[in-house]
Amino acid sequence: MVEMVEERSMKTRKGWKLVSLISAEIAFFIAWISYSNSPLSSVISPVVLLPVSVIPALMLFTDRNPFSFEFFGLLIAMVFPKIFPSTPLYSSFINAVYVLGFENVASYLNSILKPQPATSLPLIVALFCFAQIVEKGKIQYTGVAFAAVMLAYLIYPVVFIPTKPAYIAAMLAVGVAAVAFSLFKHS
Amino acid sequence: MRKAGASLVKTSLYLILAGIILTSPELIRLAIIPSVLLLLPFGARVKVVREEWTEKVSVGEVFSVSLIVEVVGIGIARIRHKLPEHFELVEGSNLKEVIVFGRRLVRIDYKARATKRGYYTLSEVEYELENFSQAFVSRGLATSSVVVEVKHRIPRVRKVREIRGRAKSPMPGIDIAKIGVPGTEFREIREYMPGDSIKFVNWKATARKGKLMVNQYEVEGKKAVWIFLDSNPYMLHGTNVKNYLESAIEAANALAYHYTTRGHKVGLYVIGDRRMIHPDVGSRQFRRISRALLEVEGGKESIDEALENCKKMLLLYKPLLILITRAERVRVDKVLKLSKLMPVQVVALKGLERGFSGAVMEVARRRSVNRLRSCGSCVEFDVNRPLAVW
Repeated sequence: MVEMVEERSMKTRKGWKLVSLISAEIAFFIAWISYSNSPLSSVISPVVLLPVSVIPALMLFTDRNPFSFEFFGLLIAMVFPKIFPSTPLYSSFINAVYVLGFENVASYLNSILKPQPATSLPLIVALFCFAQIVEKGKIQYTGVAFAAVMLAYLIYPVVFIPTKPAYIAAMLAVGVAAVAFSLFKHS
Repeated sequence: MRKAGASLVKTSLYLILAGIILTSPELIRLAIIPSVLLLLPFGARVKVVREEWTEKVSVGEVFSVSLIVEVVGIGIARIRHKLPEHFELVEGSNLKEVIVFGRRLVRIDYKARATKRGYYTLSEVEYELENFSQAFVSRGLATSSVVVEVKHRIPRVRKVREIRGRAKSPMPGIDIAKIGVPGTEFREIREYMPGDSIKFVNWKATARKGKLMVNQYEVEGKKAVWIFLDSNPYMLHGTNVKNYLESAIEAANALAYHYTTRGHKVGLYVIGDRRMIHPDVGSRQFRRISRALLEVEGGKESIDEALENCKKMLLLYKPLLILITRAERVRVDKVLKLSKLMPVQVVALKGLERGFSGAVMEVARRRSVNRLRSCGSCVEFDVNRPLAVW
């Protein structure tokens, strides 16, 4: 009986790890396509980043979570060149370079790094959330987890209808995170 | 909160922090995806609406339980009918996992085997509720009224034919009771004692002797049997399910049944538990003893102390005293002394010792058994074999 339970639990564990691996690979593919289309790809070739796709498989073989938080951070970094030029930080950096007397460098950077929409980023976040939910849940509830993530993915832009979305979103997100954190502490 | 929940919080905070540091509203906006998952509502009311079960079973027998649980709410519900440690699941499952969206009736059907005697209240129905993102979990308890009474089986008492030694009173069936209702069979004429009925006065003998004389008649009924069951800690040698105490209880149950069905008065004293049931006849008395045996927990009390506690009653009834214990723990000289006053039979348990310590215990046990047997007052009971008695 114990052996049967053990065997079933092993099967379940392998099941969610496979789902997690597939999510990680899809997320990597999306991030890689996004990076290939970014201006930075002309500086560092996207082919160099292809070995990164082996990381989830290696994690699976070492019996760890294939879609780890570190891997997620790496994917965000891969997509970031697309959204970085639209940030005030980038603009101030270009201005600083220009003011410090490197006009040519500033002009060059400004010409190659153009702001682009990063539609793939929410998908990567949603896939990561899905992998985290599936991790300890039963493999049978993959559909439920997927539906929940899709719901979150579809709902999130609606929350930003108000005029100053970034600030309200930040306040809201920090509030939600604080509540969740306090619940976590007390559970 | 589950690990998934903590991970979602971490992701949300990471995106916010990265968004603030890199002044990216895009990243801050994305932090809402994990947060939405944390906010998915969940909650339910769980109630047992119908329950069916086998109320009385014997040790080792399979019994069935069927529960219908009503779950009203939203989330992933895990419902478990909690089983005591001595129950073994045989068929089905006492755990059900379902997705609830509104009202749902969950049926839990299973068959289990009881491995130890006792009253078991299976009143706890535990439930766990998760939200659809499996990030949060809440736990609760519903109640059911399932009570299972697990009794020892009553094995048939086989006769032991080869008891060596001088038997003083091995067959209580042919002995008569010391106290009880006077019958019609004349026994003797003796002096009047306070409490004697006036109708028993023998007037002719009184006139002849010059003092009040009464007729004494034999009392009705068979000899009383008093079972002394040892429940001291050393009786717990073995496993939780199979140990000397459990075997002793099984033997006591069988002996009580054997003698009550043959018309004897049967009494019980549990050494350690200090539980006493005075000798009486009939199936009702057997049920009383059987119920008392179900509740035996064990305790500390020496055999001498127990005999001292019951001294008055023992002298009154002069019963056949059956002592169920481990022979190496008995003070043989005391038992032999007692056997001069009344018939004593020691049921010596054996069969659970193993290894070198077991061999040492075996030597001690054999020594006690041989001494007790020389007076015909010891029967060995191998707990691994069917019960036998003289």
